[in-house]
Amino acid sequence: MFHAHPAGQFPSWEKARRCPPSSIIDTIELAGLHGKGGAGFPMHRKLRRVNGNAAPRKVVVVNGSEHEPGSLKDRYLLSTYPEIVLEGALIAAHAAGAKHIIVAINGTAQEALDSFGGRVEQCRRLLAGMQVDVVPVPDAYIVGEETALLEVLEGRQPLPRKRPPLPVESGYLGMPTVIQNVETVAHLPFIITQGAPVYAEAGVTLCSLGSEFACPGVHEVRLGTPLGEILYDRGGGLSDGSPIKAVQTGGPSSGFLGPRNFDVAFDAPSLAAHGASLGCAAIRAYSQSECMVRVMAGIVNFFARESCGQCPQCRMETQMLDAIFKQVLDGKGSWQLLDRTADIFRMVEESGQCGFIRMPKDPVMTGIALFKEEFSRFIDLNLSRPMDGRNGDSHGKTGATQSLAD
Amino acid sequence: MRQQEEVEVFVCMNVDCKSRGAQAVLDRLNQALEDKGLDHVVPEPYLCFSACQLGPNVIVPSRRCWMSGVSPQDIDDIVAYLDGGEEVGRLTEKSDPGLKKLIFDIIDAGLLPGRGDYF
Repeated sequence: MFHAHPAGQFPSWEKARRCPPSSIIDTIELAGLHGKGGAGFPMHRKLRRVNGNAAPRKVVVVNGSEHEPGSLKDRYLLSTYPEIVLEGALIAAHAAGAKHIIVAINGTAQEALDSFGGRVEQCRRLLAGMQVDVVPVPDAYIVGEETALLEVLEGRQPLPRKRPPLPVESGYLGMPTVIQNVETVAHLPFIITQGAPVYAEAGVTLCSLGSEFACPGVHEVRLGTPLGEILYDRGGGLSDGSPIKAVQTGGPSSGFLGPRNFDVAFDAPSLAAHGASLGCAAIRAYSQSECMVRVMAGIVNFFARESCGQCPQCRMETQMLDAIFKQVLDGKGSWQLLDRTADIFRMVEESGQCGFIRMPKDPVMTGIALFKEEFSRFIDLNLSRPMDGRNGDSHGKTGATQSLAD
Repeated sequence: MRQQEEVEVFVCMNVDCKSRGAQAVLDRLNQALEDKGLDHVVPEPYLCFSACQLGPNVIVPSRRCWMSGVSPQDIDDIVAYLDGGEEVGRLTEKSDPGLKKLIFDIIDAGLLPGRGDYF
């Protein structure tokens, strides 16, 4: 689906500009394009709300902050196909009735910044009066949350906003704003050029395979492909040749799947039905030698560190989970304590200012169910040693909690 | 003389309760217990009770007692309660029953208080 453009040409945008925005939005709806940043929200609905708003000025924000651990696709597109991302943003702006595009890129993704920023500069005179700003943003997980991103773009700390109003009503500097992931807008040129039915039939998405795979990197896959095919045929399995014990398909907030579910179709509804998620399609595979209790401790520690701390319930949830797992690793946990995690999630279900509060639930609940035997080593056998055969010191008071960044 | 059973008292030390004066509450509680010789009562800092808007929060898990909006001026009454007196009604009446059950269940299940080890 992604091919390099001849420099300085935007054939899809030229075609889109000859059509009324409403027909472009209809085409996008027919194509069934959902957001690729993790939430999977239908793009046409945001466009329709903003286009229908009577406000004189509107904005499109393209979110290339890509903070999801393991996700590589956005910086890949920005570096390798900057003109496709730019063209997609232009199409989105036309559909929204916007004259201002802001492309937010993770400040640590220098290649993406240079490549995309350079392409924008090269093409400025071709943009027909469209204002395009490229803004580096901090490398903090919460910046991926759309209202936290808006706060950063307005020069403030990345603290998610209360809703309502939604960004489509009042976003960047109070203007109706469409916020879309880099990959989402990058799908638009194909949709416009080839048509919605062809796009829907092709049904492709990008997924990121981590360095644990024999063939890591960004892969274009067809939605609905059996997961096992992606793991072993596309990804080549694990680079050490060992069988995969478990995977997360949509980043650290995705539930775990074991081998008996590797025949699940790689699409949002099928994965959700199995307790996992498509999310941003950052697939992480775990080998037999990895201690899943330590993996999960690393995940909950990540969420505890990355919580912005605004909401008491989110603070309590993430810090309690972190403390529970640290106790388990130290041999001071219990099955009763693990059972209480379900109560914590139940308690915070309707709380929180953003979706972050709901992120730890799936990996914790599925992981406790899937990896009972490994938890038993720490709880029943009171062996606070890793199962990976690494030289097991007794890890001291806080245990060797594995950082997600490791 | 029969040794009295240890009574743990947890004082929330997360950001919100701390900003409302939880440290002063804990310090005053420690001092008052020492003055009264109540060695079996053990105050500890705790992670969070998610009741920030009612903080500082002080709980006595073994007695299922939850006190909210505690100030250093309340400590004498609290110590009197810990020494066998009546609950301090003005401090216990605001607690949320659902949250109370969750937190006490977690403590019963063994989530340890914060001595800097786990949080």
